[in-house]
Amino acid sequence: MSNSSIVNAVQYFFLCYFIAINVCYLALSISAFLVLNSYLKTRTIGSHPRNYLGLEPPISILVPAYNERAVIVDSIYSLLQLDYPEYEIIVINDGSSDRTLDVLIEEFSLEAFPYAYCDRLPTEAIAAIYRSTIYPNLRIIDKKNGGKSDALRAGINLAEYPLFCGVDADSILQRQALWYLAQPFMEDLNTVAAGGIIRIANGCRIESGYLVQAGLPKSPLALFQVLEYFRGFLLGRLGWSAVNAMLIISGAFGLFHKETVVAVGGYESKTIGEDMELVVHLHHFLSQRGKPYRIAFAPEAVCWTECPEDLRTLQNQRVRWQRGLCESLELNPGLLLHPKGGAAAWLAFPYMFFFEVLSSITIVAGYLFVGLGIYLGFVSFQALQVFLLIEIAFGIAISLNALFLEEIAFHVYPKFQDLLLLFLVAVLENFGYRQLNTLWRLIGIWRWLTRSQARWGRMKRKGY
Amino acid sequence: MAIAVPSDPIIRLVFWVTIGVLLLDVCLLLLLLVMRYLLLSSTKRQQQFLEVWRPILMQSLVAPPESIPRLQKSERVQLLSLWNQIHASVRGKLQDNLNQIGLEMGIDLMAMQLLHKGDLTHQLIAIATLGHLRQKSAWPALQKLVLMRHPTISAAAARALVQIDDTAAISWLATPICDRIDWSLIQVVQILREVNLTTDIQPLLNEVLYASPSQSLRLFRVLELTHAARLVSIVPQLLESPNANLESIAACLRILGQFPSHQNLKLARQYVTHPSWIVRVQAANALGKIGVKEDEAQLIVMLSDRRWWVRYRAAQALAKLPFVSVARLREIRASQSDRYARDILTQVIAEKEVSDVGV
Repeated sequence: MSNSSIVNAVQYFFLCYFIAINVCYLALSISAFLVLNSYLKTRTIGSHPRNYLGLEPPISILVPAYNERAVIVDSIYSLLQLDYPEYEIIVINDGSSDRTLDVLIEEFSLEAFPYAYCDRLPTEAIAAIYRSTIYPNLRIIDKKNGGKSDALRAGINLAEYPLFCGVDADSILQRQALWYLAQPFMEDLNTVAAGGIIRIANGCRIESGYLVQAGLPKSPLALFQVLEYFRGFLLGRLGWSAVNAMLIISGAFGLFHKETVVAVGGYESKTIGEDMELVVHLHHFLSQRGKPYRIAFAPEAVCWTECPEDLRTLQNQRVRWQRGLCESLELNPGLLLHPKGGAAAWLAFPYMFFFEVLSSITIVAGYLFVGLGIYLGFVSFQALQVFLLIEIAFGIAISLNALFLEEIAFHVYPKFQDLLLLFLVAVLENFGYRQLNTLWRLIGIWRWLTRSQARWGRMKRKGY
Repeated sequence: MAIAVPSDPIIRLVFWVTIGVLLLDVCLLLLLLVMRYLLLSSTKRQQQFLEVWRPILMQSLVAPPESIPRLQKSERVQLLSLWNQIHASVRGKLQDNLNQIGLEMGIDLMAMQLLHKGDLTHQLIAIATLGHLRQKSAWPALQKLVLMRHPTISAAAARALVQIDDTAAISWLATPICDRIDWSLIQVVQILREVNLTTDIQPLLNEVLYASPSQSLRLFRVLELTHAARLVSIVPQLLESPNANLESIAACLRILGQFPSHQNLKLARQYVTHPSWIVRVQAANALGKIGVKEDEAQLIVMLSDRRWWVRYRAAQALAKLPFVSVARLREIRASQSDRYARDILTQVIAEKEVSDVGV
């Protein structure tokens, strides 16, 4: 094989990969549009009933907290005011060293209570269980540090209700978010999990634990993330949910059928991406047994969260996400092309592997190849220009697609200039931000391959 | 500055695709801007419409308004939508008054027009309007819509039929309500909530008795919310049915626990040693609500069940029995050799003490 045919073959490989990944994005866009369009047409009168139906399943909200002293009180107050008929809040203090427990005891008048704790899922030792003497539906578990998945397992053990909702301590739920998230469970008894939409709270006006006015952040890094979240939720999750193949439900806001989660062994401690692993595991477990099930996306169930505004924290988050993705797929290889696995096994899993895990490697390899090509003279400067331009053009198109879905359904940012600013962001993110993300994802893969010590990075909070 | 088109065929192809995608980007941006412009102007129009019409409709709840402004043709859907929103938020006489003003404005005719000509959203608004107005003349048209494949349209039409005449509707709708599993539970609850508690629902009860186990259970669950008292009569038959599965037995026990009678108590007692913990939990619940002195011993035995939930519900059931005081619960705890029974009683005693002091 001559050098030129090797170069040609490599060029064709990159071209085919590029076409394939964009065909997938296009398919997801169409799928998401169809789901959203049909959802909107039927959302005419009273999609959220004024009176509860009696069908709403009671929900246990689990809030794992590790050194969350600064935000935990506001967060619990906002949870206590949710618009839902029956729910309890269980905060799991995972061995915090910053007086999180003291703050909780003082603010909510906690007293130790003799619960007959049922350890169906193994966890680190429980020190005590408290109940609030002011709010009867608020309980706190104080346990030895064991990580987020361990804290969630302890919460599941204590949960009294058939559904549990994992919520991050710094998240702010919209008042009716829980009702919308429970809606798939009311509509279809085979629903085992549902995920809501996460939006960026930076730049929004938040008062007493409630979002009063949505607004775009000033920080460019946060602005890039606003658009990323649009893509991730409106294209990714919504698109995959159309074929029951959603593999990710954010740990910040997801609702699960408790007995099914207990049957699969709960959250996995071996991974740093316990939220994704659980969903992949549920697909694997239920499809293997031929049980009908549904994992749904609730586009109107909104959770607001603060995103990182400094590069270090953002890098930690992205490295962790990528590593979590790799680990989740690695822990459930049996789902890949499983005969009974449906679209999750035949479409979503391969997509995640080829286009979410391998894309960063392919992109970096592509850059190196082009760089080498220019140096050695087998790639022209004109070719480089054209390939960079098409990457940018497609990048903008995908972001605009997500913006389009946002515009037809939610238009959360109401000002004209917001739209123009987001368009500008869709262009600018292609000059550095996307490349940085690719690099971080590569680091995530490297850390997964080398099994380096997994850590929860410390989130720098500006607060609300 | 002229753009140099590449000579290499692959690069040329990529170049033209790039140009195409960039044009697409521009089109998408323009589309977004147009959409935002339309949204802002329609919001403004909506605001103006609401400023005029909301006070009129709100006033019509208590007395007919002095004058009604002329309605623009383009405002018809907005009016129907607002009228429906207000209708859904009021009850009784206020709804009648709203119907009166609605008929005076001719919204029945507007709704009939939309029913045949409108898109999906308009059709749904029209169906809701006709249902709220209890428009008998719309009955044949709504019956046709119930048979449509689209679940949202057909379920909305079924609800409207029930609003118009619940007795006639139930005898006609019983089978679709059971068979249309594409209607969500939410939709079925919304339909059956419109059925008066005194209306004859025997056709629905027959469906519960003779439908497939999954359909029967689905309908049972809805009736449990809307017409629980009527289900009691068929519970013995359901429990004896060869189709009875764990979930349907548990559902029957939930009903038995709501209606104290000697026969219901006798039935519930039969399930306290059932092999499935799901059934035992509901049996314990039922005994807690309708149990008598003789059931105390059985509930004490259940405190040592191998499943936590059975132990917990048995302890709660004991605590709920009117003749069992906290002192008696402590006595029972002291007599237990099983640690799990003691632990669960400790929790339930603490819960009872807290609820007794009103926290």
